[in-house]
Amino acid sequence: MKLHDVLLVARRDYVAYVGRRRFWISLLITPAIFLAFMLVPGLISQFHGARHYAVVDHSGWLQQAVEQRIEGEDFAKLLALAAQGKASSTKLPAAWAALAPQAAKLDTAARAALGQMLAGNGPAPTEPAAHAIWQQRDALQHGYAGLTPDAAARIDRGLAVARFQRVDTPPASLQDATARGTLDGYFTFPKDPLAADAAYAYASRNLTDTDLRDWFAGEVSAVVQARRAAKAGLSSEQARLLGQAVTFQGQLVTEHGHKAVTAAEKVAQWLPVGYVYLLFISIMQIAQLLMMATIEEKSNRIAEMLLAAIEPSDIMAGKTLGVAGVGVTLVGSWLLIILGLLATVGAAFSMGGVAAQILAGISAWNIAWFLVYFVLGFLLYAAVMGAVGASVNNIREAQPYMTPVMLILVLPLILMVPAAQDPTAWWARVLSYVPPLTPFMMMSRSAAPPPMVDYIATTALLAVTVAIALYAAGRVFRRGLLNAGAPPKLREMLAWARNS
Amino acid sequence: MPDAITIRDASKYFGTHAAVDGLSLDVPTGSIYGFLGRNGAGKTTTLRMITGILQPDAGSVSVLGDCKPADVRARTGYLPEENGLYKDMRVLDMVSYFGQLRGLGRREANARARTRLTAAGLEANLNAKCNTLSKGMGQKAQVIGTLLHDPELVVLDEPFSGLDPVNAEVVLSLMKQFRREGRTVIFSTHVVEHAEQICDSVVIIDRGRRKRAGTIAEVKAGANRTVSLDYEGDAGEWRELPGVESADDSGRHAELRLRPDADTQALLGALVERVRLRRFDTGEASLKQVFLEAVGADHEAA
Repeated sequence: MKLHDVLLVARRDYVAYVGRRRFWISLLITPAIFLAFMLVPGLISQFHGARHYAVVDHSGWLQQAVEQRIEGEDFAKLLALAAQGKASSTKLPAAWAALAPQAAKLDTAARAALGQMLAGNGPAPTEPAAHAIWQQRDALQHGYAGLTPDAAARIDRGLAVARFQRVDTPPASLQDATARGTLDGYFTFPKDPLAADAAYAYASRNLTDTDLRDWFAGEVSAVVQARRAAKAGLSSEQARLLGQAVTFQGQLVTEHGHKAVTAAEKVAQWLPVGYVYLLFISIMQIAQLLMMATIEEKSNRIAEMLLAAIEPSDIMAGKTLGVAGVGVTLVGSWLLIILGLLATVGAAFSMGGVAAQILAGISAWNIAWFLVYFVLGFLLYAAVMGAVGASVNNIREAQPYMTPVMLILVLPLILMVPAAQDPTAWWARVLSYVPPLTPFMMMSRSAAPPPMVDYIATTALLAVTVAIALYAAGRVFRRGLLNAGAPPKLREMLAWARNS
Repeated sequence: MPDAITIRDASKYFGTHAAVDGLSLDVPTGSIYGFLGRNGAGKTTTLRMITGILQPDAGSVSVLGDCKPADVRARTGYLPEENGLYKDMRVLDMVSYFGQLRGLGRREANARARTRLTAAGLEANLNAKCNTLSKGMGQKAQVIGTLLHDPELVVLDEPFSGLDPVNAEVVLSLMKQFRREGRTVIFSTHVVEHAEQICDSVVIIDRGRRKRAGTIAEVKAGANRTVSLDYEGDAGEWRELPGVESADDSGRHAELRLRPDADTQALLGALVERVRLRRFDTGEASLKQVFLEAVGADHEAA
């Protein structure tokens, strides 16, 4: 093998691909799709104005109680915003913006409690800072009442007043208003909301849009639960404890003992899925590029001129290297762009920390093995795709060969989540020893590192397979490039591999 | 001076099919040498063995002084019949790339490519993408790329295929120029007239085997006498004429191959009775007739 020739072919292929417009489109389109996934739901909700609803209250008290609760929650949010003193606080009504010094002295629970008190739920607070705020309740309630949904949305889209507006509607007009779309829906409270068989109803033109229903049900449930508890003689604290679910705090066990799981470690537990997906995308993308490049060489009728100038093995090695460079540039750029987006644009959607946690969860050990498996996996699939590309005359002829390759490549995608959840399962270990699956299965299992013997044995087996595949593919490549007739059958390709 | 190419009992099989079957020949250095044969005769396979693309399954092929073809790639240039361009590449870069593949340094290849493309009238296209070139310009660029490293041995597979008469003439004059420069040129063709016009020596190959080989005179020696004639009218069945063994008739022009005992006077008399003669020349067989005889084709149909 002549390094000069290999590098010459590699350089030409790399420059030819990177110089094309479609490369840059491909480079930008994946992060753009990722960005769209990240931002579009938020953007759509921004374009969706406040939902309008009405309430038919047969109980005579529940509607007011629920509204007080909703107001109380909004008050708590406004207190939090005032305490933060952020840019959004400048959009707060003046009375609320002036609370910054006192609000900053309250913790989350105290602000939640004060919010409800300001809304009329409960007695005046005793804590000085809270009390000072409570004394201004008339001005605060007045400032809140003056907020339109748009003004509230500019302050914080999480405020109920920004998202949901109750509209006083006569019962006779409810159906008509809902059918015309003036109302998004209306709720009906039963006469006795605390009864075990109390029937609550929601009527809407669009029952698939559950935002309004879910939000309102949560608010009503909280009020009804509290009332039921009070009726049973329980304090509000007892009622809260009754409704509280049990959560298990995860602890990571290592050879050195066990400890509480950090956010980065939680991310690290799921990083294998990311590794496998990245491995899949990069190997598939690059090996397909190699096949396309080889087919292009044939269709451009350049192949024979190359064969006369340099060894077929050098052509194949050069093309593999050049296309691998293209793929590494592509995938590397994606990673940089996506992590950059997570850290910058994502920060606006409270996802900035995700990038930091992902970075913190990545270990040098796993990165090293990722690179080993990427190189070996790529060479294995490149050998197959390169041989196929050389044997056929166009993409259509390549399809029948691609199907089994794709089936093999998709298998690890199906198995990556179960393997990441149960890395020590016997089946995961067995499949790690199947060379075409080795890179994917081993990376799937990387959260609970497989035994060293698995790393060494599977890699050795894979390396031997890669060597055989490259040797056979080189022969098929030589013979295939000169084949202008019908694409060979698998048996013929095997004969080429033996006899060319 | 040693021969540029020596082939001894070379065979190449594809499966059970012998594309080349025990072929032997010598190509003198500095000559233009033609490979003649029908489609599928084994010409391209032989040229591929000479350029090192294929290895013979039996026998030997040595070029430029007893060397293996693969060892002297920097001294040979090959333009296959199926040749193309990197469509997205700049003309200058592509020509330079082919030179670099044959061992030239990048700077030297770039300089030569620029000079030669300019000399060939492609100065305005140096930085254009190859897919913007016309067919003729593209072929010029290919030839320049193939020969950028000044090879001693130039191998051209069907160089006249698809060319109009003007471009065919350009290729013929290029070959003569290579010979003047002392290079050896071998090319394959099934257009025998081109070979007769320019070759010093030829080999006629059929079904992978050598039928005739040598200088044009040697190949023609021993072939039957011929009559070449231009005529008007319906000549009828040529073989009914006295002394005619076979005929290559194109309607108003015919080449008649005569039996050894043929009497040309009797033939002339018979012809005058059938058609209006414009020309009647007796002479040696043309290379085309020798070719047709060698490959055993149906002469009337040919």
